Amino acid sequence: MGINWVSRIPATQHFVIRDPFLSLSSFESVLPSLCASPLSRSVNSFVARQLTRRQKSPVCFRASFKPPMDSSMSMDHKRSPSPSILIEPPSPKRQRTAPLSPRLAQQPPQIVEEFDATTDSSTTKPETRTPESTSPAPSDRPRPPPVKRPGQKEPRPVITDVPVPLREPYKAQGVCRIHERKQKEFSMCMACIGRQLGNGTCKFASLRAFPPDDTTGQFLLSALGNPMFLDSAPFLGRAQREATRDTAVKYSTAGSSEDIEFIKTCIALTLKSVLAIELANEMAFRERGLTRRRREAGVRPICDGCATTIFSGHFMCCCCGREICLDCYAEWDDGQEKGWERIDTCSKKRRHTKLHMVPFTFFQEGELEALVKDANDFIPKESGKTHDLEEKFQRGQSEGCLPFLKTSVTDIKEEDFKELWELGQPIILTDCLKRFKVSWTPQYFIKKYRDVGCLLVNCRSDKTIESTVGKFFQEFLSPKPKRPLKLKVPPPFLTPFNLRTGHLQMTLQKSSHLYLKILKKHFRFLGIPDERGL
Amino acid sequence: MNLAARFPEDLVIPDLGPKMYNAYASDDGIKGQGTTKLHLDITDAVTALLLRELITGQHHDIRRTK
Repeated sequence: MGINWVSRIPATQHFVIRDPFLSLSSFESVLPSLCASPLSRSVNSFVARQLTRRQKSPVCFRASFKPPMDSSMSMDHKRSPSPSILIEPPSPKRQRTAPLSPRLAQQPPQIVEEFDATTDSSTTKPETRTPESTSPAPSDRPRPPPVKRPGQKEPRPVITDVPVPLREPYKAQGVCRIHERKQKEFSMCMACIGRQLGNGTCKFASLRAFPPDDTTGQFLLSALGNPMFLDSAPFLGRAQREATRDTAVKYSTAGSSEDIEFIKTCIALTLKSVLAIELANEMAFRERGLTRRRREAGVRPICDGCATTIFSGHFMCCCCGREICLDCYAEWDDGQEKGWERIDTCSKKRRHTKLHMVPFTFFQEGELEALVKDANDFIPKESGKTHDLEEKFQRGQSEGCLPFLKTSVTDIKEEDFKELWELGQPIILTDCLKRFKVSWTPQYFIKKYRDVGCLLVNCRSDKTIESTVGKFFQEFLSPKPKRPLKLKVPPPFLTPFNLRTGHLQMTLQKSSHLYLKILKKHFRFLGIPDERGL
Repeated sequence: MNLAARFPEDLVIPDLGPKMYNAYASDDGIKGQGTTKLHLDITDAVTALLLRELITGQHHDIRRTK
């Protein structure tokens, strides 16, 4: 939707705008005189209000215009000096019922189509439609085209594409979207269909191949349903090829061979169990088209089914590129029509089954076996020391608590701590504060991050409030805060600490709207780190 | 021992924290939930209690978890 349908709707029309940013701008360009009026202001404030409510669905609002005196001149409203405007909050029940439908029905059919096109692309829930909206319209009105109800799903056909082993001659594909422009039959990956090239590249680029058609220079039309997959496909992106290790990193503490030994001992047991699953998968699919992929720098592969990290083994649909992890694959019962939509949804309202999945692994030939052997050497052995330590550090008991170990940080050696930590019991170490480099007081945070934007959670209502660090700690210091607020600073993609130097680097940009938006989405506080550290 | 710091630049490092947690005193009494509900962390966690103030009978916390 865009300028066209707005300009074609006569001035008497109610209409619904769903995308606040897109529509607002097109709206303003079409109706400049209106935007000088209170409309623009109220729309803006309304959009702002909606954003703070963390709405998942696209924001929609309704605006209705009182037409100029001569309503036959449909475009006259542009010049109308002060049309009266009414902005209503979105009311899902009213979007498609009484006030809208009769008015819409009076319009030429093409406008109805435009309107439906905009509504269909949005996420209208089935319950927003009341029975009246689906009842047959009186015969004197042109009926709007039938609207598909999301609740009534037709059975989805299973795709016909089947992966075949790689054989000459073949030509690797580039980005799906480009091929699809030339060959309509080309099946695009879900990233290309969703136009997500900005945040994740094409799933098939340089990975999928087809036999070439020598006469047209395209892929052989008859073979498009039988994609082939390249083993250890080359990387496509330049950034990927050039990804290098920065060797000039300054660490806060130097690592030693004992550290490496220690870490390997820590992870060996867990790693072994993960490797065992991978190895079993590799054995099972080695003769059934297991394809090896290279790990990509800076990319964390995520399962499209459960959104957790893929360690190595995974499956990918040969038609839509959906990637699923070993666990999801094992759980997925592909014989059912009413399946697991996050897993079995394919392109063009079809579904795929296990037959269409290509097994992949990130390990090279023989790499896994070597790793399993290596991990076995580091499985920790029982130490007899733990018992002595338990006697030395008695577990104190206080009312209402399970016994816990409490000692001063100066009284315990690091090796002893590791032994006790391994038991998985809580330990309390006192006198740690003097080891911290910054002063962890409200005054420090007020001084340092006064105007930094942040999100606060009201613990009583679980609502999020936009505020600043300074304001938060001011109230923190007041004898009687009005409500129990909390400020969390988790680091998922931007840590407030420089991991390599250990410096706090929470210098944030003020009023960064993009970041506040991301924050709202993830319900997290974060900042833009300043590389200079403290 | 900062394991995450040893990762090559071109890999995605695991999310080990730290995160900071600050909250006002909750006023929901003895049987209340406080400001953080009882939960079990997926991985081992070291929590540093850095500030606890007694203001008119209420506790305020600044903690750092790693």
